[in-house]
Amino acid sequence: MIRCIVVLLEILICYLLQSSVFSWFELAGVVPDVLLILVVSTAFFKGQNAGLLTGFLSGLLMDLCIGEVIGLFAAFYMLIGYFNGYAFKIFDKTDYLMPLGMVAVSELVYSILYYIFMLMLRGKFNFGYYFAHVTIPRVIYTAFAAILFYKLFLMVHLLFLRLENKEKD
Amino acid sequence: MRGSMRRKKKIKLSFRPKYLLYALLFLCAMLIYISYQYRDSLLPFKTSIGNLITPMQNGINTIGSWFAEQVELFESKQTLQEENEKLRAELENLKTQNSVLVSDGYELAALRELYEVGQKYSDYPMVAARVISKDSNSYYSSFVVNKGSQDGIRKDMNVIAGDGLIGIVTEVGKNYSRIRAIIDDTSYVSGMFLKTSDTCIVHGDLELMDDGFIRVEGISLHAEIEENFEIVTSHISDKYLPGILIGYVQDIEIDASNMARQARLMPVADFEHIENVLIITTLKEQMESNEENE
Repeated sequence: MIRCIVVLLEILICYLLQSSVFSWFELAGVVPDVLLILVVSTAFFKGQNAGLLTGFLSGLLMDLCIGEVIGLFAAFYMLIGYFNGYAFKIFDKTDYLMPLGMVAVSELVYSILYYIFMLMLRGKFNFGYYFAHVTIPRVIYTAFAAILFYKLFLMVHLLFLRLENKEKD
Repeated sequence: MRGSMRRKKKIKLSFRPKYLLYALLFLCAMLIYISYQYRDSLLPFKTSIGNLITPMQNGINTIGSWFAEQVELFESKQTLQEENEKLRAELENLKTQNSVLVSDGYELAALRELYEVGQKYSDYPMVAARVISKDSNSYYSSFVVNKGSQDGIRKDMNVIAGDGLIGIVTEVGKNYSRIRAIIDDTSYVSGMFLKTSDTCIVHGDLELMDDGFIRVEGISLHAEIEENFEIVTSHISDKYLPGILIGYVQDIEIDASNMARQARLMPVADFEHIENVLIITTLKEQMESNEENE
């Protein structure tokens, strides 16, 4: 129960940060995708079900706030949460390189999915341009942001894990 | 009690992720279909979420701008000094240029009066608003401002900044409204050459957006136009008020179909640094019905 509330709060805070504060720190016209980092880390910490649901909820929030149709971002993030959940089996809290790689790959997949559904279907075929000017900067910036945010999410996760264990005893 | 709770947890955990994924994917597909089909009836729901989120963004923004200011302070003294020197030289240069331009300005004003164009839109009633959030997605360019329906903002109102058109209000909440910029990939504005009255379509394009340009399409082959002609919003448009300056045309060329010409447009508004905007509170429909009454 507490975990649910914590995740909901994390989603809300990440969205707020991403939509307002980060536009002040824009580099090459892109902002880091903190919600994606959250989804990947949650899937990594807690497995597929949790990743799935976190992805669904954060996507839904984005859909409701900036989406043209409701459900598309939700589906994207959900898939990302689901597939990253496979890595739960090899979760190791001292390994920082693995999650960073996962974030980068996820962002790449997300950008390509986004291109296919939102741009290609509207007849914009210049994939090379979008790849070089939006996708690559986004992947790099998000991966850099992940260094900080992954650590933060991990700290929150470990804190609540400890609290829960104490309750059980 | 404790035992039953533990059992509950176990049941919850025994969901197979695969099936949950399928169920939620199905739900998403349904949602996409519903929201696409009944876009307008879902709007109140969306705006209520917006009403909830916007005050929080507003608050967090003040913190963000403070941080950004601190970062700016780190700019070293050296670069500032260099810049100062450069600017001084430039200032001298500009002073002399200005005196020439001022005299030109008088001439222009006189000619404008003759031509009866003037700054028509300065007569429209306007509301000033501050930008509080930009889209968190790099593909769109829309932003949110801090005025909403309680300040008299309605959907489809035109937004200007500086001297030129910036965008249009696409969504209104109680205390916020969302504006789609004309450089957005999905934006189409019906435009017109001020001098020759030839119409065209001003169409945002993601590929040109980075360089700060907008695409202009559908210019007639017979139009007598030249580089740097002004493009304003046309009379035909059903949402944009006529005569608002959009920008200056460049690189005119014949398009792929050989039936029309296309060009690039340098907008007058600075889209990189939008902080304050003016929302024109006259709607095109209102204006037309008023004219009919007269």
